[in-house]
Amino acid sequence: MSTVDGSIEPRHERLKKRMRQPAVRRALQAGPVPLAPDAIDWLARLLLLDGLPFEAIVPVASMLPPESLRFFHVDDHWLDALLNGALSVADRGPDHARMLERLRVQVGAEARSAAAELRMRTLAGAASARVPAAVPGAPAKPPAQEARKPGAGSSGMLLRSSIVADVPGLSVSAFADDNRTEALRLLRIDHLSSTVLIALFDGVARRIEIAEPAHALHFGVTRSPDGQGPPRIELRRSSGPGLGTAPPGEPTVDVVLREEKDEQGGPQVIDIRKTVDELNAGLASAGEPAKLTSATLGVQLVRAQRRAVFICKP
Amino acid sequence: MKATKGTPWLALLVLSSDNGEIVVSRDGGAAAGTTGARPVALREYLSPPSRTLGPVFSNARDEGQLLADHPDPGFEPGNPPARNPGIACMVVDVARDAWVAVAPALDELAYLAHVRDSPAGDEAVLGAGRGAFSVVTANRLPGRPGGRFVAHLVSLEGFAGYLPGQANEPSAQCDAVRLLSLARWEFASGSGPAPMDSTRRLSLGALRMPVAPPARGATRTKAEEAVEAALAHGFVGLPRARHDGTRETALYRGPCHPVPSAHAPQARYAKADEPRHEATGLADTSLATAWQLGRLLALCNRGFAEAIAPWMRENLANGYLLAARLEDPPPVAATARAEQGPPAVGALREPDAITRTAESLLGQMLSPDGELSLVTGLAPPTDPTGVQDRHASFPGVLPPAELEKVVAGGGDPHKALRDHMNEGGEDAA
Repeated sequence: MSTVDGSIEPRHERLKKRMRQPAVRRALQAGPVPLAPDAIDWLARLLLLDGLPFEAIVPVASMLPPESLRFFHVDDHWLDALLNGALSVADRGPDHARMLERLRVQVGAEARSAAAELRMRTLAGAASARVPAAVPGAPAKPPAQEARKPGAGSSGMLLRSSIVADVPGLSVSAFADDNRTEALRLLRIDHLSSTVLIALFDGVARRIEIAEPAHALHFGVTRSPDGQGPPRIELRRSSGPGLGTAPPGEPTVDVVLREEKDEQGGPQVIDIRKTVDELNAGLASAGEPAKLTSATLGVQLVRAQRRAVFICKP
Repeated sequence: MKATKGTPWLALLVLSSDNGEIVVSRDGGAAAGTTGARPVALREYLSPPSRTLGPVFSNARDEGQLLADHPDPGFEPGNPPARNPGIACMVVDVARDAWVAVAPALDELAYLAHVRDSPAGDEAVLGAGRGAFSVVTANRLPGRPGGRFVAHLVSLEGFAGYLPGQANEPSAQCDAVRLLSLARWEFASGSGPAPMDSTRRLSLGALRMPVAPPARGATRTKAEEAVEAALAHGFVGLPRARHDGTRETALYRGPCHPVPSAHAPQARYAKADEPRHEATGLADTSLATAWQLGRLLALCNRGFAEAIAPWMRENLANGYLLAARLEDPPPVAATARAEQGPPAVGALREPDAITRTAESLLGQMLSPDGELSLVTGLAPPTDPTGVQDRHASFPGVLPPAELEKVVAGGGDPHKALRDHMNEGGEDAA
């Protein structure tokens, strides 16, 4: 800094003295006073379109007819305007407006990062309340967050269908590509009514999957196509990296029933012991020598939840 | 084979509702529901009527202790809970033949229970996504479409000896086995379409208003094309009242667009209907609506209003404090330096280091985008309207210098003021 002789010393001393004042030091060290976390969370929920009137999101009913699935991009400028409107309640004069102009950027950034974390935070809170930390094998912390392309914006979908009511706990996942390699973080999934579901993703979705809830995953066997003969189990690898995939040749094993029964609804009870022996033998001949446990028997019997896949054309 | 410590004591029994596999109301107790489960007193579970089997505990004292701990002489299945101080159990009486046919053997139990560790966390029901879940598998295939079945999650504690293949497997002398039903549900074995099948029939597309295809042979005007293009970008036309009360159609679109939003941030406008949609010339009320909506929602939310008022007050107080205490206007160069952060320790030895640090911190704190500092941006607190130093330029006010001149010259200040105003009026004309 170029200084004029004689003027530097007094100014330097003057400032030094002022900087010693506790109030000035506190103000300088602390920076802007942060907005209360609850208020930030409320703004974050606004950014996730939570609490907005449905008409603001879907102004005309024909945009979302019954039995339809609609994809969308979220407009950041619209959200900025929404946020500025909410913050405008603090604007009571020219000084307030100038101060708000300076604080807006910071509050906006905080609300956005809170919006990105809100769902995971809620989930983690609910899970830790339900599952004691000592459960062996329980994940110690949420799985690593999926990466997000900077500046990709967010996108989402609205589903208006009877399946929203018929299949409680539908799960939605989104990917930035067609091949399930790049998963997008789910920012929000919520029922807007008993038949309307909204989901928001952190990024632009290319592939969206709607599935029955994971607990609809069930155990079963395969009936022979013609209805004759005993039901079968398709063998799956029970260990190693290929866990759950079919061994080469897709071998099957017949289910052993305790007693053959008529078609009139008599007990069709599986002889678990003999079926497990058959499965062990079948797996051994497929190169999977390990003996089945209850968990790996579950792997053999598992029938995945049903899943619908949608590819969004750009 | 004996039950060991690792043998599960839970089992899921799938029983047919229509084949007499569940014995109902044999002893005239409370009417069983459609699942066949009914409440009885604890002692009726521990010591069921004749020809019905109850649990056998390895330690005979357990049973006595249970009853001693929970005496319930007054239990009447029909009475409300307040008049039934003892324990009521939900029990299901399984017919002996069904028990022998359906109950898992002791060595099968270990295959029918495991723990599923779910990391999914993508379900619509918050909180149901993650955690360890106990899984109990049944061993029966519900046959026949249309057949009705009941699944009972039962406790096998005390029944190990009665399991099929065990020494005490119930003989034909006995009618039923009385089990604790911990959970139960009915289902029908169906053949209809699964709910998920209807995803095939969903209409798919982007969130926008549908456009009717043009009539055959009809050509479109430029205006029609412009409106269609607006609809394709997610706009809808909505009626609105203008300031002067006349009505017009304005464009609106919500936060959800059918196309990625590539447009630049909207400029500031004084009135909500000022922004115009370029192609159609219609008023674009989207962002004004968003702003107003945010404001109204914030005004509805008392907690938010209570948090934001003190936040603004404290920030302003800090700003005023710094503006008052550090009154030297910072040089322009401070703005550029603000982005570099505080100087290193060595740099603090320079004579004006503290000044620069203060300025740099101020710059960082007050203008995150590095444009202005609060010291020059804010008016002093005694002038909330910010017009004090511009009084002289207002019409009807004589500038102080001129007033002094008139008074010193012995003239009439009022006349001078009138001349001053007329002068302005003529200028404007």
